[in-house]
Amino acid sequence: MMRRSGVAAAVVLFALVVASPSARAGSLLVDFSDARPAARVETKQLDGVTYVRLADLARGVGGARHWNPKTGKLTLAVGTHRIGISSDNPFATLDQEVRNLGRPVWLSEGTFWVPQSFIESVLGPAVNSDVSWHPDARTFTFTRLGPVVTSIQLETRQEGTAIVLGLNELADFVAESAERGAVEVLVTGGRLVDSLAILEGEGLVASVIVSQADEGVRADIAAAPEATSFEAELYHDPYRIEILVRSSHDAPFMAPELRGRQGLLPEGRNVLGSWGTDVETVMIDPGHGGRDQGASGPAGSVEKNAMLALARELSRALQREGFYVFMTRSSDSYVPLDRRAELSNLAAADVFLSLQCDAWYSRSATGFRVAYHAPAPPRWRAHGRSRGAGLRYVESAGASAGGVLEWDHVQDAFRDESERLAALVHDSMADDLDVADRGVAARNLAVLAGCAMPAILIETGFISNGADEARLADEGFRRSVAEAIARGVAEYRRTLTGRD
Amino acid sequence: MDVKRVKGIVVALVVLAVALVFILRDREPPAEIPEGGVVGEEIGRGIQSITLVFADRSASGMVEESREIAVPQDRAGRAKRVLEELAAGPEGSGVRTLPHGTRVLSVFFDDRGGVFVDFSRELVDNHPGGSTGELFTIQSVVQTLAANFADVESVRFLVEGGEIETIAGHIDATVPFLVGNYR
Repeated sequence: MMRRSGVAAAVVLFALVVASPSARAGSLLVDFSDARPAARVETKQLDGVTYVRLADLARGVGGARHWNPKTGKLTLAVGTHRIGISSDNPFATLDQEVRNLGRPVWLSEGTFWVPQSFIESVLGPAVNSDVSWHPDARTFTFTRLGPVVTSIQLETRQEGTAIVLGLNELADFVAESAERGAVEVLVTGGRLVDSLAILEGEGLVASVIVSQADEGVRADIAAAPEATSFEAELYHDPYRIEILVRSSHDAPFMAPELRGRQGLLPEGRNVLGSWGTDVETVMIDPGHGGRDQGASGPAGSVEKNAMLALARELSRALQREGFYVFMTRSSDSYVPLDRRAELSNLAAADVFLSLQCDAWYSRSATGFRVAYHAPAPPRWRAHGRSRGAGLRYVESAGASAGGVLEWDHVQDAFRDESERLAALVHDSMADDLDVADRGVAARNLAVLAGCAMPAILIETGFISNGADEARLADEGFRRSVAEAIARGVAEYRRTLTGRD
Repeated sequence: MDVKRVKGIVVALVVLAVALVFILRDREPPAEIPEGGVVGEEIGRGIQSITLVFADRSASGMVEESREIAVPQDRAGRAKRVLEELAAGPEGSGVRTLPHGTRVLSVFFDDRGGVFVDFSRELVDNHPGGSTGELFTIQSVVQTLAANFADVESVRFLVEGGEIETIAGHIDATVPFLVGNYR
């Protein structure tokens, strides 16, 4: 009895193993060029046509199936695409497009089977891939296609000239400038469908040529001679890369490598120790901005605008004196106080100049004043606050002996130098400008507290005073103020380095 | 009247009594002589001469002004009244230092010479701006408190119960203003 059943089992097993290759069912492989695992897909022959099981394909591409029993329609969602099929119907839809599969979709025992052509004509495009068939290996290979650079556009903006590269999906890119005046942007793995170029540029961009390279799509940007820096950023909705080319004439906000990301901090650099060898770089801080208007004058002048105009003038004056200049803002934008100090530290500026207007209820108050930082009194709080990234910066820089320096006490180490700088800038302004002189003062100024370099705040006049307001609105006066400040900073450089 | 009800009333009365004891314990006894010494002279019952410090017209210094006002007995209440007078602005030659509409919400004295003053939003929203203007606002409050309360060492500014970074974008208001620094 036992022996008989054993024989029967062996026969069944033999029948299964030997008979299956000759059966009409079979399988094929769908292979992906990216990290996704290959998927085994069951097949069946029907009237000489190979059908594949939809459930296996859906699993392979990570799609979700939705069956509507009322309409008899099955929807396969792959990424943002929708594929629609229904039984006994040779037409499939891919989003809004209709594709002819040649043979009707087959519904058998609750399972959808689609003709093999479905893989190439519908599934491939839905997953943005090229599909090739290797009959020997019975394998479909999906090769993912890169993002398409669809358009190019130039835009003149207040901050500079922007090149906008349109994309059909998100893309990785690298933007770099190997030589002055040339920026190369590589959209990694990108494809170009139509040739794109701008041969007659505008603003700070002379030309842009977009070409297909092995690694992806390449945009070669030739910048105008006055361009000094650029920034590149990826945006959604619509997908695009914007490359903004700036000019120092407007004063560059930040070189691209100084965009203030924590990861860009120089490893192990001691901010306090780095200062003192020379005075090359000046950070100008135009007070207030954006939603913070600052003070306003009787004739309607607003401090944030007056100081931005003065900052541009000062940038030019300092560049004429041979300084490299950065600004904490170059447009009407809101920048928090501690961020201003942080930007100056990141730029490794040697001098920080905050430009401000004074204001008072009494309209008769007038004149300019230069202030430096008076150390903050000891804290009452048991634990010092870690406001903003300034503290992180000092921490990462190793700070002074034995640990973390509270970020808003960084300036204390520069008190003497700041006082000296304040005096020299004050003297230069007092000599050159015919306005009331309110002297030099020490004040606990929040914007200076985190600066790891000599830092001063210049009150250029009382905007609440009609005469001061009118002077600040005058371009000639602004130039005189800018030149006086620049001379003061140059004098400070001379006293420190012996160099003019 | 049933027993349960009587029990309930008794329990409620006990709870109320205990709560009252706790509430009253933290209050200053009304008859006590104010600690810290009042600088101003007491003129009659509850009327006191106070000193207010305003700015001058050229924004170069401060001017004092004396006033006789009715003040509450407790120190925090008195300080609040004094600062309300300051917020109302000068009657003499000085210039106002607190923006129009600024209200003093509360004043709190700690036991280390520190005073916390909670202002309404107008302190920040209506401030004319400028570091000198900010300095005068701080100086006038600090000096006024120091002139009327001998043991004040520092003053912290709050707005609507919260800490502020600055009043108008210049002077660090996250730390207490020491009386010695704002003379």
